[in-house]
Amino acid sequence: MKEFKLIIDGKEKVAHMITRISSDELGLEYIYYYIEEDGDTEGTQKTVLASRIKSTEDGFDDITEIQTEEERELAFKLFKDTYKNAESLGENE
Amino acid sequence: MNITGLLDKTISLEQRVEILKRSYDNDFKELENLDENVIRQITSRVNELIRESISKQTELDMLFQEQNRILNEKEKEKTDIKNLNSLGIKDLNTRRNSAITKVDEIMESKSKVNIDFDIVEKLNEKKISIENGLLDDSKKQIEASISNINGNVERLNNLISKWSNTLKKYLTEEQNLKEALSNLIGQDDTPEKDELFNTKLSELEVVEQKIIKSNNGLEKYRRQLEEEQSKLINYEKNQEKQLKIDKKLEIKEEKNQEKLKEKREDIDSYITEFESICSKYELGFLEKEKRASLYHVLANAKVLEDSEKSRIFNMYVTSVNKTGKEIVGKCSDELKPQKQIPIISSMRSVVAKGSISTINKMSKVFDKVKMFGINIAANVVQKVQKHKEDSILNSIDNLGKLQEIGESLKAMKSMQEEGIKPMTM
Repeated sequence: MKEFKLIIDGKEKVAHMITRISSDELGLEYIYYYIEEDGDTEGTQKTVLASRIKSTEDGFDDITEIQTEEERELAFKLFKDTYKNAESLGENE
Repeated sequence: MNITGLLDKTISLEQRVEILKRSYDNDFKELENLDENVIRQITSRVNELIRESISKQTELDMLFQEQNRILNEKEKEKTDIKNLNSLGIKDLNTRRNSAITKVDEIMESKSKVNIDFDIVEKLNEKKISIENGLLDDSKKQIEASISNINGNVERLNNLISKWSNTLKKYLTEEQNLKEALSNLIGQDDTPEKDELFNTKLSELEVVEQKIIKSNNGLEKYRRQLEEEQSKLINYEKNQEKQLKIDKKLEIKEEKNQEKLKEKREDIDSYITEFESICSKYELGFLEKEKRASLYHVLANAKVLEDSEKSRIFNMYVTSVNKTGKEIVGKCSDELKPQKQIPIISSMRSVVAKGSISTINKMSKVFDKVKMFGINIAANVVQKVQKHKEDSILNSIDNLGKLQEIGESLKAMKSMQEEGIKPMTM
């Protein structure tokens, strides 16, 4: 998993990217990740976080915080629907 | 004696015949008994089969009835759906086309307004900036000059006042000297009188010189004062002119503000229309490209305040959520560097929970299908369709098998009625 730094709740942390999902239909893209903590093991429970991401013309990724509860729901729906379909495709293969 | 006694050579022929006869009779009796059992078993089995056959036949009849009922219902549903579709699709298409046309119109008008508005705004900004700069300089110069003139006037007034006092003093001295001389002229001539007269006369000459000098100085300052006052009048006139210019600019600014307000109202009306379309057609009704581009046009419009952009975005998100339709995106594991470390609040960002091993598995699923994008959804639809088709084919097969069983049971029943024993046992 790819890593990037972020300041979450005022502290600098390392995040592990799970995936990024773009929807042409929505015109939006979100990045999904979890935060690394000391003593993490395979069984450690984690929260999956989402933020809006936009690639800029000068070759950078601009990650911004989700602003509202409704947007958070949308990011979750995109994640859930895409995963569900990705899983079904896996089963077909 | 049993049948093995036939081998005993001591037994007579008659006895052997009797043994054989008894043995045969016994065998025959056993055979007769055996046949009756078999017949009873066969009859019992046949009766059982007949009962099963009747039961299966009843079951089959019920199945046929159920099948006919379902087929009739399906037929009715088909007719209903066909009728509804012809009505619904017509209405749906009309509404859809109307919405798309409206969006086209809005976007076309919006792009024009944006261009016009941008130009007007830029020109206004430039003009106001230049005018403000010039006005400021001009005003400052005038104010500085007036202040300078006022300083000069004050200084000159002080000088004039001073010189006036001095002149008054000299004039008083002159008057006193003239009076003294006039008094001396009326007195008898004496050397003391002559000396005093000459002294006073000299003093008078000096005072008169001083008076002339004072007059000249006074005149000079008065001229300077007049000049300064004239300058002041000119500057005051300029100030009046400036006020008139200010007033004109103010009127222009008001007009510009009115134009800006009109443009702003246009934008507001587009937003309202967008909102109305989103609400009326639940957004999902619009074509993907139209929806996304309309949102981007509005949300990225330069003339909109950040709060307005945010409002449009939230409106857009709400509308998408309301549609409840499936949204499938393209997966990617690319990650470019960030210009600055993103600042995130966990409260707003949590979308799911799970152990690291589960998350890793999810990540692998995403990786596996990354870049397949929307085709995933198409594959799933195909899969569901195939599943449906398979189910229907299976049902038809099962029905065929049931029919076969029914036919064979019918045949058995018919054979039974005709007294033909089945070839069983």
